[in-house]
Parts: sequence; C-alpha cells; structure tokens
Amino acid sequence: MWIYKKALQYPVNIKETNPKLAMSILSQYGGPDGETGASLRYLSQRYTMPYKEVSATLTDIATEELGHMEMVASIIVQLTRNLTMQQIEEMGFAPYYTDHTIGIYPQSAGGFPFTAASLASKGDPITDLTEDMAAEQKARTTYDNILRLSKDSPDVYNVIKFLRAREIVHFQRFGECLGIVKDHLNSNNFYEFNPAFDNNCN
Amino acid sequence: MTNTPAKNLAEAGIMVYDIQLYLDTHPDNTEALQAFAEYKTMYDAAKRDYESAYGPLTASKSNSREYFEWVNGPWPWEGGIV
Repeated sequence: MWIYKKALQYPVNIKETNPKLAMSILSQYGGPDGETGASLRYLSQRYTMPYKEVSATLTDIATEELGHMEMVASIIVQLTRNLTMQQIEEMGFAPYYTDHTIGIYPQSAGGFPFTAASLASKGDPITDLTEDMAAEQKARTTYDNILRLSKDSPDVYNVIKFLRAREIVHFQRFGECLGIVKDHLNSNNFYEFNPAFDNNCN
Repeated sequence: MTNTPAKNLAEAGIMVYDIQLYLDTHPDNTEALQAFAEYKTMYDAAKRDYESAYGPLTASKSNSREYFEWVNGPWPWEGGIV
C-alpha cells in the first residue's frame, strides 16, 4: 500500500502565466516518456523480478515517479492559473482548452492521450531493465528539450533541472540492477534461461 | 538564502530518498547506512517544523477532536509553500 505525503519532493512556486510552456511540460505527465508511464512501467515489472535488490529499486523508483507526476502537474496548474481568454487564444492553448478547460489530462505535448503502448513489461529481467535504462534516458532527453524551452522562466527551469537530475540517478541505479541480475546468471551465456520464468534454473 | 520549513524538508527529504535508492542496490554498505540514519534524523526534525507551519503531512497525523485538519490547504500543487 501507499501513504500519501502532502508535500512535493522539490517545491514548485511559479508566478508567471505561460500556457504555451505548460503544453510542452504536459508531455512529462502523460506523454510517451513521461512520469505516469515511468511509474506504471516499474510498478508492473516488479512482480516477476526474482532478485530482492531489484524489486526494492523498482518499487522505490516507481514511488518517486508518482511524486514526480504530482510535481509536473503542479507546474502545469501554476502556469495556467489566471488565464485570460486572450492568452488562451494567442498562446496556443485553445485546442487543449476546448477539451479540458484548465483540467490536468495525461497526454503528450502533441495531444496524444496517455497510452500503455509507450511502456513494456516483458517478464524477463535483462529485457525489462534494459527498457528501464532506455526509458530514463528518453525522459532525460525530454527534460533537456523542455529546459531549452524554459530558459526565460527560472521558477520552471529549476524544477525541471531537478527532475532531469533524478532521471540520471535512476539510470545509474537500473544499471546496477542489471549488474545484480547478471551476477546470478551464467557469465558464458546470460540468455541461457529466463530467471523470471524458467524456475528450475534459479 | 535563509532556510525555510519547506526548503529544510525538501533538502533532508531528497538526501534520505537518494541514499535509500543507493541502499537498494548496495544493502550492505555501512557508510551509506550510517548516512541514511543521520539524514533520517535531520528529516524527522524538518518534518516537525514543517507540520507546525503547514499542518499534517499525512492524514494519520491529524489530532484535532474538532476538525479534520488533513483537509485544510495548502495542497502541494497550489504553491506558496515556503
């Protein structure tokens, strides 16, 4: 089970209104490499992970990603506060506004709704952890792209920098997890069997 | 920059969480275990300050017999929490 803590991992206090920037950042909420997908990916993968250190890592990183969903949503909420109809029309927010007003909906920057097709849970520890390392790098690239778009918004920039740094830490931890998995396997052939399925070989 | 309740909580919180993730893959690292205990003490102190400024961080910490303080703002996404 989870217990909700009423605080963000890194505080979000944004004064400006900028719906255009909010639309880009929305991708890290519900886009292909966003925090929703990250959390769901790790939460789903951990059930077939046969090694305790890796189960712990998947659980704890998935939990942190849930907190990051809330941070990303907080940025969007604050960037779209006090919007005028003129800003909605002039700052590229009219299509989103039409469907969601200023509600938070999980979608990509391009408007594609969140889809589980953007993540994998393959039931094979080497495959899943390789996916997780790639996922962290894709999220890092997306945050780098957002950083280039938020140069003039220091309150946003600092939060995105924090989130970007976390992706790098997670990549590092998943790399160590892959090492732990391989330590349990035959070093002459890591792919001899699937330790999450071929249980006689554990 | 002076440290505020929210800043202290965030600073101690990220240290505890970051070390927690490190310990997941290095559970026998005694240096990290010691750091984990030290930052947890810092976090617990920061949490007490934060809760006296902004109310309970978790629902179970609501103690009033008159009103369920948990429902009171500010909620984290609203901003203005320093």
